[in-house]
Amino acid sequence: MRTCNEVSELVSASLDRDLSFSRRLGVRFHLMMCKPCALYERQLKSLRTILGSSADVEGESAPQLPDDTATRLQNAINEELHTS
Amino acid sequence: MGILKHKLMDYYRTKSRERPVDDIDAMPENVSEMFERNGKWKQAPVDWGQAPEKALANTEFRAVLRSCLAELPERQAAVFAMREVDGLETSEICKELEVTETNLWVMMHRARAGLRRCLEVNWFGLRAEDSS
Repeated sequence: MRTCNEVSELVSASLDRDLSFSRRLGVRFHLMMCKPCALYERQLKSLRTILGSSADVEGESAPQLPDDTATRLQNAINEELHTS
Repeated sequence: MGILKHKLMDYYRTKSRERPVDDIDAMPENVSEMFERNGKWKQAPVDWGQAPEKALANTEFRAVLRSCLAELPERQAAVFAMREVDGLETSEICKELEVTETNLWVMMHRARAGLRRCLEVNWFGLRAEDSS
C-alpha cells in the first residue's frame, strides 16, 4: 500500500495530469482506508473551487453601477430637486 | 472581474520573471515536514466541514486567504495562481514561466500543501474547534 506522503503527492498530481490506471487504483484504494488522506483530497478540490471563484468575489467587493443606472439616478435626483 | 484576474496574473508573471528559474530546492520543505519518516501524517488534516467554499462569502476569510497566498514563495504563488485562479493548462504555464512539467507539478504540490495548511491553521481549524 502507498504511504500517505506518496498519496498526497498523487492527489495533487491528479488535479494537473492524468494518472496511470494503476496509480489511480492505488490512490482510490488508499483513500478508502485512510480518513486523513480522504480529507486532504477533498480539501485540495475545495481549494480549487475557492481560488477559481476568489477573483470574482473580490471584484464584487467594489461594486460599480452600470453607466446608464448612474445617469438614470442622477436624472431622478434632478427631477426630485426641481419638483420640490 | 476578468480584468482583475489578468492583473493578478500579470503581477505574478512579472514577479516570477525576476527570480531564477530553477530555485525549487531553495523553497521551504513544507511537504516533507508534514509526514513522519514512515510516510504517515505528522498532523493529520482536520475536517473543514460540509461546504468550505462558502467561507469565500466572508470578508475575514478572504483576508486570511490573501495573507496565506502572500506567504507562499513567489514562484509557487505564480504557478499556483495561473493554474487555479486563471485556470490555465499546465503546458501554457510551463511555456510562460519556462519551467519543466516536473518542476511545475512539484511547485503545485508544495503550493497546495502550504496553502491548505495555512488556511487550516488560520481559519478552518479554528472553526472546527469552536463547533466541537
